[in-house]
Formats: sequence, structure tokens, C-alpha cells
Amino acid sequence: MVVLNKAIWWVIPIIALIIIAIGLYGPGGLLTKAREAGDDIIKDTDINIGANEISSGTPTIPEEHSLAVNSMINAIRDEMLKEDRKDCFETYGYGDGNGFPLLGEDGTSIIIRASPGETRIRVLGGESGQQLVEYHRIFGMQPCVIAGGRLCPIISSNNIFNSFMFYNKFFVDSAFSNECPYYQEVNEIRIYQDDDKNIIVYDGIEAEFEDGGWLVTPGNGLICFFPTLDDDDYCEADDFGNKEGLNERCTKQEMPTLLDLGQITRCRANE
Amino acid sequence: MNKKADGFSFLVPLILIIASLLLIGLLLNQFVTKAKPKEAEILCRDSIALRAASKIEIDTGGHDDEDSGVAYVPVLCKTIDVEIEGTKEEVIEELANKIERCWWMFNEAKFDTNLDQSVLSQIMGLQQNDKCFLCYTAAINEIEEEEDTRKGYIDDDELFDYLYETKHPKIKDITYFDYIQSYGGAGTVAILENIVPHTVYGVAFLARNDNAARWTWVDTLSTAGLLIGGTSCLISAGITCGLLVAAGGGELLNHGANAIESRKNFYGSGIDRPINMIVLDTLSGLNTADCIVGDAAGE
Repeated sequence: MVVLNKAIWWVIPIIALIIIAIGLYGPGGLLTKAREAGDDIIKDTDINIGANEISSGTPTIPEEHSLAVNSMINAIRDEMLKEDRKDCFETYGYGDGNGFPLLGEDGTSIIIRASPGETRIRVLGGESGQQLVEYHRIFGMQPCVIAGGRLCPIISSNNIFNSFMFYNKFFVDSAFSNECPYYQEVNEIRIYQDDDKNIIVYDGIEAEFEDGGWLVTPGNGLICFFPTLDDDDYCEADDFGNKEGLNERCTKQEMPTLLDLGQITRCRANE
Repeated sequence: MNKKADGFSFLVPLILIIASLLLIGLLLNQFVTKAKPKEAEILCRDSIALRAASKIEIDTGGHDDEDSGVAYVPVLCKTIDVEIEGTKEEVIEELANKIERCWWMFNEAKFDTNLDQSVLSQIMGLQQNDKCFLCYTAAINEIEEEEDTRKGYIDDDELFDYLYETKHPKIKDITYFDYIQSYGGAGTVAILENIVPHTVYGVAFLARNDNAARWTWVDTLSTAGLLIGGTSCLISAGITCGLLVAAGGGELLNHGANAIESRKNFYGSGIDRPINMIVLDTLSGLNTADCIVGDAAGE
């Protein structure tokens, strides 16, 4: 009798629990119905709980941009920085040269910055074009541009632009500008795309950058870039040239011709 | 009489609940305020993670660019003050560590909108336009000069090189720079000044901002050179600037006024800042950023 009593005391609650569990959790049970109702509300109102986790990969730039950058760095390191290199030219670029392809809006940008005894080249790309993708240090290099102007004692004018000196030295008379530099040293150069063209900003001055992939070294580790203008069709630097740089006709048409004629030389030709 | 009793029985628990919540809030605030640097860093990171995990987003069918999410956990971060001195290497190491920790505190930017308005701010009608938090102030007392150089300062490039070349102390096969750029969400670092002794610097987390694109970064980059008279690098991330010592005499004269103007553009809420970043700048420079300083919870 005692055993039966104990069994009833155990069995009845267990049966009750099972009934409640089926009522709550079983198909069509109260909890299932409540969960489904909740799901419907979340589905209808599109509620998300918890912020989505963001993951990012290693930042990259398009392959042709990388090839052009590395072509430029190789040209500088391998051909232009040797001791005997002076007033000689090199070209860089993707494929057949011609410099950088369009770098993309918020895409790739190249920052060339002078430091004591070296130049640092940072290539930004990745997320919104603001992440570092490549970083190069070139010892012995100092950046410059074929632009700007200064007083030149051998010419009686205060308004001599370096584009004029460059044009006269390489296009007219190679002895012309021996006493006055045809370049301007700069602290920082930034190259990127704005609107539908590549531009160059050197020490705060903005110009177009249709350089045709040309670089020139005046010697002593100076490596000069070619900011350009497209305001007229002539390469001749009349009226003392342009302060912002050469006309793009010079870099794209005249300089290749001069190279073919042997009036300007590639640095590698000195070997 | 019955109605009166009902109202009373409803009001008492309600008052008790509100009082309890206020008490918990005060305790949390006290804890954040009194937390030691290590504890404060952990608390900050955990609060950011909890905030992200508990964020509720409701699609209201409104504009796509309208953030309808609600994050009801407060950001329990506080600005930590440190003093740094030692050899150049020690100062660089310490600053790199602070840059890394600031990124760590914000969960490596794995979750967006870390510094969005809290519900309390919304309810109280407080505006929090800034999406910037000052993780550390770092007072540089002395930088011991080395025998081989006479430089009494640290070039921003030297700090950058350290971040770029040094392996992360806890995560295998990545550098400090990799950690910030791509370990979590996309990020970048901007070092805006050289490090000189007897100056106070700040290390801040700048959350990305794409809500008010009146200015883009390209616009800012274009004008930066004009604004600061020949040194265009101030307005950019992923690179360094070092204006203070590197600038020439004439530029240095212009630097003061122009740098303030440039910083207003750089930090301004009107600019479309497309990426989360850690910024190292002088404290006076960061003042133009309107960062949250002190306790983020207490504001």
C-alpha cells in the first residue's frame, strides 16, 4: 500500500509534466505558437538583433596599377640612381610604357615623399583608396619636377620658368641651362585620379599628369616627374614657358621623337 | 479606495525599478571613472562588443541611408592619461602600443556605428554629431637623445616605419599596420605630427562617417596644399605628415593658422570620411575634432 502511494505521488506529477510539456512544446503547442507569432512579427517588420560583423581582406590595387608602380620604381632604382647618371631619361608604365593608367576615383594614389637621404613611396588603395597597399624606400633619391621657376642670373628676367629652361636645354641647345637648373626640388608628390584624369600635386600645386611615363634625372639622385598642361598644342616654351609644367604634347609626342633622333638619351644607354 | 490602492501598488514597483536602474547606472559610471587603465581598456572593449551584439535594427521602409538601428548599451570608455619618456625606441614602442590598443578597444572596427547616439541621448534630445573618441592622452616628457644623432624628436616616418615593420605582439604573422588595416574591419592610421618632447598628444578613434557628404576626401586633398602652404599631406590617412619640424621657415610661419583650418576640414562632420581610423595628433590639434573626452558613458 505504501509502495502504491509512493508510486502515485511520483507518477501523477510526471504525467502532469508530460502533458504540460506537450502543451507547450508540441506541434501547435503554446510555446511553438508564441515563437511562430514572434517570428511573423520579426519577419513582417524586418527586425535584426545584433550588428553585422564586418570583415576586411588585405587591401589591394588593380594589377595594372601595381605593375606601373613597380616599373617606375625599377626604372629609378636600376637605371637612374647610379653615380654617372646625369641629364638622362627613362620611361615606366604598364605594358608599353606611357606611365600610369587611370588610377580610379577613390582608387589608387601614389605619394612620393622626400626624407633625409631617401624617398618614401606609399601606394594607397583598398577601402575607399585610403589604405596602404605598397611601401617602398628608395635610398639616395630626392624627388623633383619639371615645373616651377626661379631667378636665373644669365637671363635678364625675374620670371624664368623651369619648363623654359628644360625645353631650351634638351630641345634647342644642350649647353643652355648649365648654370640654371631646369627642375624644382619638392618635398612631396601625390598622384591620383580626379574626375576623368590623373593629376599630380607637388608641394601643394596641382597640375595634370599626362607624363607619357617619362622621368629625367639631373644627377645626384634627383628624379624628376613631368606635370603637364593641355592649354595649347605646342611644346615650344615661348614667353618663358609655363610655371605648372610642360605641355603634354612634349611628353607624349616630342620627347619620343627626340629619343629616336638621339637628342636625348636613356640612362641605361650609359652602361 | 480600490482604485487608489491599485495605483499605489503600480507606482511603488515602478519607482523602485527606476531607482534601481539609476543606481546601476551610477555604479557603472563610478566603475568606469575609477577603473585603472587596463580595466578601462577591457571595459571599453566589452561595452562596444555588447553594444554591437544587442543592437536592434528595424527596417522602417524609409530612406536607405537612414540608420534606424538602436543601440541601447552605452559606450563605457574613458580617456586614459599616460606619460611617456625614455629613449627614442621606447617612446616609439609605447606610442605604437597605444595606437594598437585604441583599435583593440573599439573591437578592431568589426562593427559599424560604434559611437552612434545612445537611446538615452536620443531620449534626452542630446546631439552627438562627433564620431570620435579620445582613447589616450600621451604627455611626452623627455626623449633621450642618441649619441649618433642630434635629433631630439621622433620623425613621424620613424613611427610609421615601426608600425609597418614590427610584428603584432599577440597575433601571429601580422604587423601592427596589418592589424589596423585588415584584421577586423577596414581601417587606417594617420600620424599628423612629429613627436617632440614636452608636448601632449592624443590617440583617437575616428569612426567612419558617410552621412553628410558635403565634402569628399578628394575635395579635401585638393585644397589641403593651398591651405597649408606647400605641404599637402596633412589631410590624409595611411601616411604621415610631420609638419612641425619638416616644414621650412616660411611654411612654418604659415603653419599655425593654416593647420587649424586644415584640421577643421579633416575632422569636420561635414566631410565624407569613408573609413574608420586611428589618429595620432597633438592634443591641441585634436581639440578641433570635438572628440568625446573623459567618460563616454558620462559624456
